[in-house]
Amino acid sequence: MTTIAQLPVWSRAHRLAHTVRVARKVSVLNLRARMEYRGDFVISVFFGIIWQTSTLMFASVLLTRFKGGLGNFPGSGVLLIIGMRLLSHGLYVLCFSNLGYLPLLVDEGRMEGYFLRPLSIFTQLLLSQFNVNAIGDIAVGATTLGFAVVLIHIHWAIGTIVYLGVAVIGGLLVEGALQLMLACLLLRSPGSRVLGSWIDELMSTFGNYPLSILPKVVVGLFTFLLPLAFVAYFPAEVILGIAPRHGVMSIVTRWSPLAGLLLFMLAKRVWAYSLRHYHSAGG
Amino acid sequence: MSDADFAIVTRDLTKTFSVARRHVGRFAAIRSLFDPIRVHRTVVDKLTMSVARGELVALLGPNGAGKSTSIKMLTGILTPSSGEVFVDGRVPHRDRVGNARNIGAVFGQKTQLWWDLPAKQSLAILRDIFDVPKSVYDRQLADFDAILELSEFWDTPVRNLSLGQRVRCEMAGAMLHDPSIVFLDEPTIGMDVVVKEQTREFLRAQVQERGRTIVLTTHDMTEVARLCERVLLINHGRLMFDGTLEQLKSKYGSGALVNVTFSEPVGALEVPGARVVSHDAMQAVLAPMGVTTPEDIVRALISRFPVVNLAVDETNIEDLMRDVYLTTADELAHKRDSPDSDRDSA
Ligand SMILES: Nc1ncnc2c1ncn2[C@@H]1O[C@H](COP(=O)(O)OP(=O)(O)O)[C@@H](O)[C@H]1O
Ligand SMILES: [Mg+2]
Repeated sequence: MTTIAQLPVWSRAHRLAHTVRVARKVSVLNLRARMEYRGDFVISVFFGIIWQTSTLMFASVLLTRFKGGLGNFPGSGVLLIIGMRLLSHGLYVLCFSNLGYLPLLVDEGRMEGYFLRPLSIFTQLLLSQFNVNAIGDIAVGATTLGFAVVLIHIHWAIGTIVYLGVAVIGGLLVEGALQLMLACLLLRSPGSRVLGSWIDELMSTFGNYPLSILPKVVVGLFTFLLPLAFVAYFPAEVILGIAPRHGVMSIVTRWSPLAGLLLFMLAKRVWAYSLRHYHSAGG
Repeated sequence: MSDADFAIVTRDLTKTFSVARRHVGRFAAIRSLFDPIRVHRTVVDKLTMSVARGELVALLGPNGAGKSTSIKMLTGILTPSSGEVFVDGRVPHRDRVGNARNIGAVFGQKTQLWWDLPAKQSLAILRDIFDVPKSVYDRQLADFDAILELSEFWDTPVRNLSLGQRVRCEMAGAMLHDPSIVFLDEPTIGMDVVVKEQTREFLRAQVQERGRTIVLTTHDMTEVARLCERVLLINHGRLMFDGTLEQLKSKYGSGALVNVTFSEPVGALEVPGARVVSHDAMQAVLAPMGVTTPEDIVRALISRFPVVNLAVDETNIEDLMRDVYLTTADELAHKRDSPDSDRDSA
């Protein structure tokens, strides 16, 4: 027999390179498969754009009504929040939205297949299909963010730009972490799907505005319970130079782009635990 | 021999699921929500067995016996509740990735291929995932294609394949990386006869020419008769029998049924070596017991009764299980009665 099974244990770097190679190949093939149905592809992208543009229109109406901005944010600052969140969300859809299809994958038995391959189950889950609608989200998000960057009257130092980039990725990870923890619940009871839609809804409803316009209690909830504030609001405060200067909140705000990473690491632990206790569908 | 000398070893392997029961009566729904009744169901019960390298073994049992659950523990999908399991010396749920490199598996009703992609692209992805060298990949594909005739349809997206075509592709996918142990959970269910035969030929070749170990679950006795030397029979999660098919038949009967129609009403029906399963005036169903064959019964019936029609049903696992039940119940009763029983009567 050939000796593939007896290969030496791979180094971590080697494994990462392997994963990246497989991910690239699968994504390209999945994307190509989606593009074969051209009508469907165009419609998915188009509706992605329409959907997010309606968010923008609502925001612009608000901003023209409230000329002085919202809460402690100037109008261009609100645009910054919207742009950051839409871009984070678009990237989230691109990378992680397959998590929401977990119950389906379990039902179809494709989840079992993931256990049978020498690749992380999480990675395989994310590669199960290409989410075309992310393209629209990302396009609108990037455009909005571009406008915001031009309109905001601050000096864009290299450090600020890097901070912005890290914050966008942090936002993506916050949403990814929340949905991953939810996926762990989904593994046990598919009914918890509703909770996922609800979290989605909350984040897109409240995520686009400065939380400072909301009552303190609600801000607290969006900081510590559903950590929406870390997606765009806190980092935007820092970029605009309106973050708290003293106390615990000044530290929390300043380091907010890292919250996503921490949450995500926690979520991965919970995920690993859930997989060990995976029940599989009967039959 | 140590555990690593066998392809598979299990000791007291057990899986218990905790399932929620509904309350009944007033406020049942609300009570179920806040105070669910959890009951534990033992689905695989102290399964102890071993499979040598290069063996083709059938894991046999009626629906719900625990076959799939056992396979899922052997493939690292489920963590056992207790007991031990070694696959090629590895503990599957502790070393899922290591185990995955060494095994292949097909779950008949489920797909592991990429739904939107042509089957061949799925195989190409699997090649990357398992890091199969190009030369091995080409040889394997040619090999699989020779028997399974995959090239006729492997450019079709998996979603458009027929069941038989899809499962053949799944099998190719499961063996592409040259695994030494392969698990097949009801691979031929729903296939037509021609494809079934093709599949069997393929499996035989994989065992004989490649030396793979194959564990196959099925409730199709014909399949077992054509393929496997050894049968593991489980029911209610317990191992009821471990031996050759011939031994199984001589111990419990073949499981076949003889259907007979008479030309005029027949009273008491007694045939040596047969159990009457059902009997009304004009028709009867009989099951051969012990060493009696269906042919013996047919002969006896023709010589004694006014027979107009006779049919022998293919061996059927559900009927075989019924016979196994009756016999094991008998065995237990005998043990209890006999004075030199090793059972503790207290
Ligand atoms: N995840 C699960 N949770 C609860 N019960 C299960 C689960 N999976 C299987 N079962 C039950 O365990 C029993 C055995 O199932 P299975 O191993 O699929 O049987 P088989 O493959 O022999 O038909 C069945 O009664 C089934 O309902
Ligand atoms: Mg089954």
